[in-house]
Amino acid sequence: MSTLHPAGPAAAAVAELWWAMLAGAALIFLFVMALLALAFRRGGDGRGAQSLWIIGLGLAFPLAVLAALLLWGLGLGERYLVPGRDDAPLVQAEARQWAWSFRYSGSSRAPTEGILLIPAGRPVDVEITSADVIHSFWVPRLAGKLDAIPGHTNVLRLQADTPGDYAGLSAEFSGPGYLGHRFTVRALEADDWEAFLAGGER
Amino acid sequence: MTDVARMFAPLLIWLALFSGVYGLHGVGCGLGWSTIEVATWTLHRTVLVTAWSTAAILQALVLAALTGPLRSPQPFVQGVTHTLAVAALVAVVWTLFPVVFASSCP
Amino acid sequence: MNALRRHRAFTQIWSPDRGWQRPFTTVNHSDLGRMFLLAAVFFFGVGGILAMLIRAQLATPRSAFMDAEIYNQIFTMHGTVMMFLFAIPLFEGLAVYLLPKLLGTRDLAFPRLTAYGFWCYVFGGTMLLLSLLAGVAPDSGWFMYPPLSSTIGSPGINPDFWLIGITFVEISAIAAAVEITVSILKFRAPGMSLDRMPIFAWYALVTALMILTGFPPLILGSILLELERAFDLPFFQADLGGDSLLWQHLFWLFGHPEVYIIFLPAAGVISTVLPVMARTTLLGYGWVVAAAVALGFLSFGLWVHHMFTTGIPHLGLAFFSAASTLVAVPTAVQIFAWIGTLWKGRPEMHLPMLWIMGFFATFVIGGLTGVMVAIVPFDWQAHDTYFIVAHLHYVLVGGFVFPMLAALYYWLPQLSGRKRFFKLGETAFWLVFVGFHGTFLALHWSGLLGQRRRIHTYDAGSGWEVINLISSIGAFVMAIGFALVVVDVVANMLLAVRGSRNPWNAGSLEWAMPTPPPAYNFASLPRVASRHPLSDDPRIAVRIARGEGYLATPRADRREVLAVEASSGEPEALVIYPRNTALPITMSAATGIFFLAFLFKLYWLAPLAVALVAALAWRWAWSLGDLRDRGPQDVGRGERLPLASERPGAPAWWGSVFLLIADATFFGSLLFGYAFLWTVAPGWPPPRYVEWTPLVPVLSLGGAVLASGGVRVAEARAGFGGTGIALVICALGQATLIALAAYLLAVAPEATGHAYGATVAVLAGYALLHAGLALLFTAHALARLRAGYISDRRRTEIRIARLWCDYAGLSSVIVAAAVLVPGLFA
Repeated sequence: MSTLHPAGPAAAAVAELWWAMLAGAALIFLFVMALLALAFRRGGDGRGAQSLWIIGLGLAFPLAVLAALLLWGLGLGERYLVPGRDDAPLVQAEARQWAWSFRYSGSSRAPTEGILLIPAGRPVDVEITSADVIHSFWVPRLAGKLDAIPGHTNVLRLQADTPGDYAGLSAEFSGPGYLGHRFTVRALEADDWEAFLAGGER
Repeated sequence: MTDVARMFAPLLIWLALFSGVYGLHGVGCGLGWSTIEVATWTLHRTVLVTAWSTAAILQALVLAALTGPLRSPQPFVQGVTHTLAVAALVAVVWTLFPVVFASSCP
Repeated sequence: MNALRRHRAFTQIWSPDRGWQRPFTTVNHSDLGRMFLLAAVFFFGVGGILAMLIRAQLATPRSAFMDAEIYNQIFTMHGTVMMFLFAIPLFEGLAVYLLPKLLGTRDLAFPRLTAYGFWCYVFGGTMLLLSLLAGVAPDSGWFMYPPLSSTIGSPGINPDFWLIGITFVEISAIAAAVEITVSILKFRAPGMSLDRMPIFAWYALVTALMILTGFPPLILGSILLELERAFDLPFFQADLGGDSLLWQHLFWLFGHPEVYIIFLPAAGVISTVLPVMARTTLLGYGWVVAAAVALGFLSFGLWVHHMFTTGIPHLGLAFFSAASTLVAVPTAVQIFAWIGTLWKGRPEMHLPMLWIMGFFATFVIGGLTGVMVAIVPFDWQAHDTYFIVAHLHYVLVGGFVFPMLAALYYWLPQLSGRKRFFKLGETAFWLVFVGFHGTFLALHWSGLLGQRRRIHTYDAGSGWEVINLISSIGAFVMAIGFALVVVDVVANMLLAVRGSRNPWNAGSLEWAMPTPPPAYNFASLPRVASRHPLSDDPRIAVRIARGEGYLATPRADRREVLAVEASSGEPEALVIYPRNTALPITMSAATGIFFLAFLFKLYWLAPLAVALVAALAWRWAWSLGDLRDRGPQDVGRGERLPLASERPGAPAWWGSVFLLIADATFFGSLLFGYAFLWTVAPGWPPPRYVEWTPLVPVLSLGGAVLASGGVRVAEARAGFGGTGIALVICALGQATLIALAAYLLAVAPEATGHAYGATVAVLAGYALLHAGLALLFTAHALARLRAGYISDRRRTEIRIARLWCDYAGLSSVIVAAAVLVPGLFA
């Protein structure tokens, strides 16, 4: 269930972003600590250069870094967080205290409990709802999380690169049974997926 | 007290404009503006971009007023007011520019 | 009069009562500041014990130490206690104790209000503590999302303790905020213009204004959730026109400013202490002021970043992602201003500086991870995991606790008059610092590996076992460190030698008085000509004691201070403060009865408590004022000034202005909630809307015009005839508004049937309450008129009544329009 071992394009893009942000943050942190350490070495003369510290380091430097980061993040968001762009298969995930049921609209397939089957290698849109309190649908290796809010339907785009089982977690605190409120996402080969939709075994 | 009001006014106006555009976004989703086409954009995006541009112009006018006819005689107050008025203009542009490209309600 | 006689006379006038009554009748800000600080430290201990229980539970996989039910109470209370009962009150204590001294005056603007706020905090905090001891503590997380925290998820009494207890404590914060705002703007040493104010005062001003505008959304949310739980008004139930997202908006509209309310005072401490430690002045004072103000305002535009995963469209999220990155800029301005100050000075690593270094090393990491989670796709992975737990502790402990410990060691000589002897403090610092990073650094990683927040245990083989074990050991080390801080402080306060008056060679006025400070702070009020009066004139303390400032002559047992013009700091009025009294604690207890009535469902008790509070408030207000015009008073240095009650802009009037700003934010949040439910909540339209009838605009506009018109005539005619009649007309206007509210309540659809009906009921109730309040103020003004307290100079009561009348009229008109608008659209 690690976000740092991605198995889908969305999670992979975020993991890449994370490593870049970690490197950048580490550099900035070390830079600031070095400035602090040096401050104790020097003997100040009581005159401070506002243009260097305030305008240069306080304004220009953060604005530049943040602008770049923000644009990268918004671009990623547009690419991976917006569902419904093409005719991806639609599945439904309903959360309740403390289990998950999954339906497969567009087929006559019976619902499954605790396990969501999807085709591997292509995007799937998951319509997420709740029957009682707020829950959250999260498959860390595939994509970010989206909440299940009573009265709302939220749609998450999910894609697994290769067939396999991926851990799913409910990621919104929901009471005493929260710990065990989990599910599995199983990505199937194309043929297996067709067979599954037609009513076969999982 | 007027000096205090001068210093706080620009960002207070930004906050009102920012909340207003966010609220307009929500209202537009509720009224189905994203399903109506206007030239290459949806009505939703057209309205929001117009609102953003108006907000930026308003914020620029606030900057002009506070550095011109409404300026404070006290240099410290005027300096801080000027800085905050510029910051508010930057804030309007920076925090609302996504209206130009980001996806909204289906 | 020589300095010693002056000291004795002022001590006699300003001292709190002796003996056991002292804490219950004191209105002295040094007393109350210390009481706030002590209570806050106590609650830090409570929160800390809860934290140790959490880490004990999470040290090993599948621990049997606590089951889920208990664990849920423990972590909920840990967050609740730390955020509401430790952090904010610690700021309040520091501000209450320090501000008058920094500003060069003798006490805060409304001394009895300080005491009232303190007791509300203590009583509310006790309510929550008792719930913990009784095993019925709130257990839905410190932000209490419905439906989990509402009737369906939590049928027991647990969330009610939170909703009611926290609202009670918030009254304390609002009271402190009104007071701090008016104190900073109006009660300073003569000549202390805005650009000569100590930097901490700027931060405290911004923080206080943020409290006034940031807390009301939560107060509203708590009231709505309690109404849902107690009376089935479905604000948060999607099937009846409500929406659980409404709670999240209201909560985070408070919640995000809250964390900046916590950070800004700590930044104010750094801006004050760091330059002194570096033996120079702050680089870029004006920039830092601008940065603090910018941070305050920008923080109100971030709240949805706590809701990135709730299904709001990407464009909506993008606004808040952009704003959340922008907020790092004023933060960076301050960080680099501080480092630049160190570079321009000659810093020395005294103990306060050690804690400031700890702040830098920790808060910068927290700020960097904060920028990371401002990016939406990353937050979609990190949200609700231990990455966020780690981030929030880095910014809160690094950004608040460490600077406050620097503050403690910096001002300890001022508070105690002693020089630090035992050197346990350095060891304590390293234990806390190393322990903290040991606890939280690796939790960033376990969060990214999939460890969710709030789970009460985890499986062996999940990959997080080592991280959690190290974290728990780190927590243990940190706890020892904090305990050692307590030992160090207590030992140094009790056993160390007498110290010098200004051991740090600071330039601000709190070091220009005897230490420990006398009850009156300054024997005479100095005129200041720069930002660092003590640096300009190292002998200023002696001159103050010798009576060379204003108000050097104790007079007729009166507690006297000067009010100044807000921008220039020029003195404009003489203010007489109240004496020691048990009225604040009594009124706080009466307020508590109101809250207990709701907690224990003894609803008949609530109106009785309200009446009691109103009676006490009447008594409170009645105790001030004069039966004759006194004219200009001698204030020393050959100058004469009028009494504050004999000119416009009295501090009490400003107090009402700022309280009404908080009130207006509450009302604005209510209107926002209404608009949100109408446009976003599923389940609309309701079965029926309130229908248009001309009666509504007639009553609302007519009532408003009568009230506002009547009170203005009364104010103009004060001292001549006709004031009484004008006030009666004003009262008739309010009666009309009360009738309007009653009408709306009568014709509203059933409040339990749909959120529209529930909202109409709350809107009408709001209008009713404010018309009632305005009536109370008008009646008070009329009674004061009859008793002879009003003249053409002494019009403060009528001016204050005018504020409340205008507000009641305006809000009633808006309520009337809001109730009718959806029906007109439909």
